[in-house]
Amino acid sequence: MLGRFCSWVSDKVSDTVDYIKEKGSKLWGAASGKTTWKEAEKLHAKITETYKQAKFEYEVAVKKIGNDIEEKVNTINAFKADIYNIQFKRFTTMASRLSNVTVKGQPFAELFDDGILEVKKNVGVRNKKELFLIDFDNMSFITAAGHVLTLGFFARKKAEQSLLKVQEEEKRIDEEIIKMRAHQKQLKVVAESIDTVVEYFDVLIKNYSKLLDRFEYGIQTQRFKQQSRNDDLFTLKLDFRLIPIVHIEEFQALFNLSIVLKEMAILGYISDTGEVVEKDKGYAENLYKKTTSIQRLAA
Amino acid sequence: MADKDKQPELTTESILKKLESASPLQASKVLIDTELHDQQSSIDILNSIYDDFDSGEGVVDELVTPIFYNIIDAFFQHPKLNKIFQPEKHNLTPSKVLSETKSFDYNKYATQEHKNSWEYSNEDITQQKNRSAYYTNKDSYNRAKAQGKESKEYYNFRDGKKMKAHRQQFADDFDEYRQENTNQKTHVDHILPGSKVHKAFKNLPLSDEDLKSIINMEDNYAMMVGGDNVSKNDKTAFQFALKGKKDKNWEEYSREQKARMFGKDMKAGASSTIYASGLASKNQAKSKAVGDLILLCFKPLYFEISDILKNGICHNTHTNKATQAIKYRFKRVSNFLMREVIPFAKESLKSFFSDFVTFFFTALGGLIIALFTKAISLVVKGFKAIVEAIKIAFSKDKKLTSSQKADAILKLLATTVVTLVTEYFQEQLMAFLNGTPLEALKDIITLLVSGVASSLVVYFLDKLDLFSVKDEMRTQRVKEVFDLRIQQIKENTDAFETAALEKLAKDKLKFRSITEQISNAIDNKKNVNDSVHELANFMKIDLKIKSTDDFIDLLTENNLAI
Repeated sequence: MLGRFCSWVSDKVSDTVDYIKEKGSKLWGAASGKTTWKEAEKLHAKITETYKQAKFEYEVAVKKIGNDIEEKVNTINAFKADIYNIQFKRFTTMASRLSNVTVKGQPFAELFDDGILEVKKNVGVRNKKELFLIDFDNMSFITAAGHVLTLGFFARKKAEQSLLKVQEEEKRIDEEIIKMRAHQKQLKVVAESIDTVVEYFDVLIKNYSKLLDRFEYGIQTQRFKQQSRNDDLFTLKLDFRLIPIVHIEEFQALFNLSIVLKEMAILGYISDTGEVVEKDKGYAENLYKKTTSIQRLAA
Repeated sequence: MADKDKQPELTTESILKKLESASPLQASKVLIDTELHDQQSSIDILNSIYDDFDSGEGVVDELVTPIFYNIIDAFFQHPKLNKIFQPEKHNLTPSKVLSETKSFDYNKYATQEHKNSWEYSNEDITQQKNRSAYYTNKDSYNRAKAQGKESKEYYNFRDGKKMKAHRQQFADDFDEYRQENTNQKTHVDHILPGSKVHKAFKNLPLSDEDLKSIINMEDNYAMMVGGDNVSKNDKTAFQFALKGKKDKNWEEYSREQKARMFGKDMKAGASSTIYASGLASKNQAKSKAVGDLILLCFKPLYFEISDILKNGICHNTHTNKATQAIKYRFKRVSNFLMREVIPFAKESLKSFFSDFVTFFFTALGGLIIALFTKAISLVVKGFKAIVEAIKIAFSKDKKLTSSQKADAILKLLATTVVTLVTEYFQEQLMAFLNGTPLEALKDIITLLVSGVASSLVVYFLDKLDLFSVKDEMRTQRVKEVFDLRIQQIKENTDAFETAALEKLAKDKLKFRSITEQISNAIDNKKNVNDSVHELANFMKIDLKIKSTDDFIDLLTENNLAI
């Protein structure tokens, strides 16, 4: 009986002690600002996590868009080479039968500039050392005693100031996140616009090639016609005055389209970093020499 | 929000315009070069907000200026002071005084600058001019008046009421000079005529009204035979008696009567001189001199207070001790006043002012030092008032302007501060003022001192920042600035996206329609040239060859360059 009573008493006493401990620590927490400090710590952890997540998502997205843009820039470079190496070659060869045609300039192979993928001056969440004016977890006995003696007045103030600083940091991080999102959207739109350029190249080259086919057929027919009238089989040159106007119009359209394609081939689309293709430069020179030699032959 | 923290504003229209002006081939570059936000780092923005909050300028602008404005305003409105000093008479308004006060600098203050303006008010000067004009033209004026053409041009220096009261003391024919009844009607004579009084006191700051009351002093009245009074003209009674009158029937004054006249002349002279100088010194005290003295008191005082708040107590005072610095500062104010103000006061007021300045600033210095040393007890004693004051000072209530805040703080702290003011001022300065014409200044001094002390209390509170109010305000500001910036970036991004996608879609449609035409023309063996030109126009590429004729010419030249 007595034992039961004793255990009841000891239970009650221990409950009470727990209660006092709990209430007491709550009170001390409120008075010293530890509660506020904990709140600041929680907020700091939260914004650090949010920023980390946002930055991760941003980096993944930007990498993807970056790859996409790079791929498109490479496609464009291939188109540019095609224009010089295949299309212009065909055109000048064919055109040389009617007139002397030279291609000036060289295609511009654009280098993908990943500078556009960077957000400038992005500063992540600063560490606790910079933001917290007090650290309850690593407090020396003397410091703690000092706070008890001053009724926690200064500790409370420092905790409050720390919380305010973290709240400010939260806003600043919000701006950083929104900047990342804005940049992501911007890059997406840029990728879209590069896609359009790819379409320009693709469609125009196809049409140019189709027009070349039509022109080639016309020129061949005219050659046979003029050859049958001419005894000199070695004459390669056609007299443009003798061929139907429809072929002259085709020639004119091809000439103007070539100018358009050339303008497109020498342009940088993302930046102006890149190089003039040396190989093609050599080709252009060859082409020039070739046409002049043909000319001389024809003369 | 300061402009430096503001984001650039983009609209759909502005982005579309930029895209329209470039070739569709350049769209990507335009889009990449568009800045959706400024290139300032968010850390720099944060730091600049911190800088704004750390500089003392804020405290001066927010509180000290309005507190001083309120003091000056209360000072101008004060009923007791208004009796002897009317600011509007000198074209003074509180804001004018404040702006003059704010630009004050010891080194730039030139001694000669205000020397002339100490003397008389504009009104006094005009009245003096008018009086001189009147007395030079007095005869023609009086003649015109006799003919019934009374002009309102000049002030009437005769006081009918007083003259009537004097006349009623005697029988109709009593002559005061002769001390007997004559058989002629007697007039009230001004022993010293108006023109003489005017001449004698023309260098004193006296208004028309003052001069009238001097001319019409009881001591300047004497009953005189009407004919004699008219003939006497601008002479005194004794002068007239000596000169006599060219009329055979005229009864000369006896020797005894002449002596009496001389006595009366002397008495009138003495009384009017005493009276006039009394009025004049009071005038100087009541008018420009007091106004300017007080005005000039504000200037160095404001300078010291705002300098303390901006640069700290010891700034440029050659000492590191706060109490020494305070003493130095108030000594500097009082020296300045002694040098710049006192020498220009009239002799009679000089010693009074110099004593006044010495007492005032010694007492004020004492008070400020007391504020320093008793800051803690002040905080304890006036705790409730101070807490309220802080609440008001840092209230986010937008309905309260800073001057309203300042007013509320002044009123709240007045009770606390006035206790100290009384302690330091009542015995020394207030007693000193008793019985002087400047007794009315007591209230003003209390007001002035309360203001100075309140500014300092607010400054201390600001420095102490007991409840992190300042940090809270700063955080509030950080939130506002970043919220606005974030909002702007969002709006810019939206505008950018809308404009870019709209333009890209439009370009694509246009390009497809042109290339479809080209393709169809090729398939159907039609002329492609028009479509090629349309394409070049779309891409903003200039084609030199516009027509087939042009092209044939080029073929003739046999030199086609791409």
